[in-house]
Amino acid sequence: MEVEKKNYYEVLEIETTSTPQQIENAYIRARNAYSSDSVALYSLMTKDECSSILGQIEEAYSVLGFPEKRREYDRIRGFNVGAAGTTTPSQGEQLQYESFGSNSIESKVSKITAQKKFGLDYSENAEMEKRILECIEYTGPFLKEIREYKNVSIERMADMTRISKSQINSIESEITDKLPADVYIRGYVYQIAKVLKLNPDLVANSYIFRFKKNKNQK
Amino acid sequence: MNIEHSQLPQNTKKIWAIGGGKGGVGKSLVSANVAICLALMGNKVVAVDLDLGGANLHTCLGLPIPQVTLSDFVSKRVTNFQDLLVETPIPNLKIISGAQDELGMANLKHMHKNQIIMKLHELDADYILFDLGAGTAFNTIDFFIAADKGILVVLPEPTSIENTYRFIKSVFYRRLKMVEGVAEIEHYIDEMMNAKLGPGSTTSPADLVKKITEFNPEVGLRIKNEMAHFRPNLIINQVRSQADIDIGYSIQSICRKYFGIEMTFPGYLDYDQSVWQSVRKRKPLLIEYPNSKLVNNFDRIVNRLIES
Repeated sequence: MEVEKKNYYEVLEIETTSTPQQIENAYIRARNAYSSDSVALYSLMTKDECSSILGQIEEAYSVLGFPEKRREYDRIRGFNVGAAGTTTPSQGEQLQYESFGSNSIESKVSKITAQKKFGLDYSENAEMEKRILECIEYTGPFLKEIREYKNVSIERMADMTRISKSQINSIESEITDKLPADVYIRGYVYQIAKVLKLNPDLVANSYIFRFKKNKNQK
Repeated sequence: MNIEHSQLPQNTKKIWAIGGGKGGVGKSLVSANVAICLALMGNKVVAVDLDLGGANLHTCLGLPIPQVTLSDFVSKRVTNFQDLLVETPIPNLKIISGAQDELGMANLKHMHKNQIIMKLHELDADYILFDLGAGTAFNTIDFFIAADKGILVVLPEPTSIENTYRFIKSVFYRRLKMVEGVAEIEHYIDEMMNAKLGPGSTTSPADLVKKITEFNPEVGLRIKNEMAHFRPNLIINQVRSQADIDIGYSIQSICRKYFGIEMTFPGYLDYDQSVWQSVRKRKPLLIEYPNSKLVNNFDRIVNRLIES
């Protein structure tokens, strides 16, 4: 393909009012795109075409990447006349490339899907709620009671926590010899508490504390 | 030739086509989950499986093999197009399935294709999604062009990228030939088109347009206007690193230089184990794995697609 002569801003595909940071980013992106190991180039351009484009990119950056040289270039080419655009970031300038890093769009979809998957469907019972609220030491049988109260079947619990049914059973009935090492138990109880919308730290800590105490007594 | 947009009923419904040259890059998965997103947001959505030779959109949505498909319409077993709509477990979302094993359906006749496009435009929905097949068959290309928005699914792999360029090239020339006045210089264009894609070919499509403009400014301007509407949206699937995401920007820049077209990059999808698990379980990913990073990925992509 033909490589035509463009101004340095066109080469880097940026606005003439870009900030130094935008120029820097555009340079890195452009260099990535046309470097010899770029996957995106595959099947489309020859080595010569690429090195010619890369040469232009380097040349453009060697001027625009340095404020003094950029001012001189702008002056000769008549860019940014009377504007302080080269040093101060211009307002309202749409970023050429938006970053995907932070996502401010809090959309409904994640919430809806989470609701579908993790929502609990049960009728509240004041007495039970009070017992849960006042509980500071969670036992296996009580966890089972809460689970049944909140209408979560053992299958659903296993599905949501990825803990096997038999291990959930062991945790609930506190059959110690069927359970893995303590650290795993803590993780399991934590997951179960999360699904039941309890305070997972409190539940896991109190469970494991009792559990260890009982074990030592034996 | 193709149906002009002006001939079709005008309303606010939007048609998005999901394509991309290569097979197995996640077109059906993207179609299914974008459809679910739009439906969960409260839109009436119809997802249409236009992968006529290898339909599997229903599998991605967790549906059994549908009883009625597009081939029933083509063979006139079903006369009312509405009857092809199949309900899904997700409220607001219906699908029309592609053909199953119907010999010859993959090579839909021109007349049938136009009829289907017409009928699809008449459907009562806020969003209609086309899940296209792999390859660059004329049918696929024409369904892609018939949509308001084209979405290309690409993997960060040379094979997928190569086929994506090939797909863009096919759409480019198909659109080019639709431009009035191009017919007279068609032999010239054919010569270009048959030249090998990529390295070794001396002229890029952007150069071709430039040459046509020098040769015939009026036609050149019309081509430029036509190509201004060709703004495919790029989705990079199975991203494992920042370098994979950057490929999206690279493709954007390269397409601008090589094809002279602008591309939008609404986002990427992280590589996630749960994808194949959900497909294997035949359950829709977004519903089955709400904690997956992919939910946020799709959220962002769909929001950006709606906005653009």
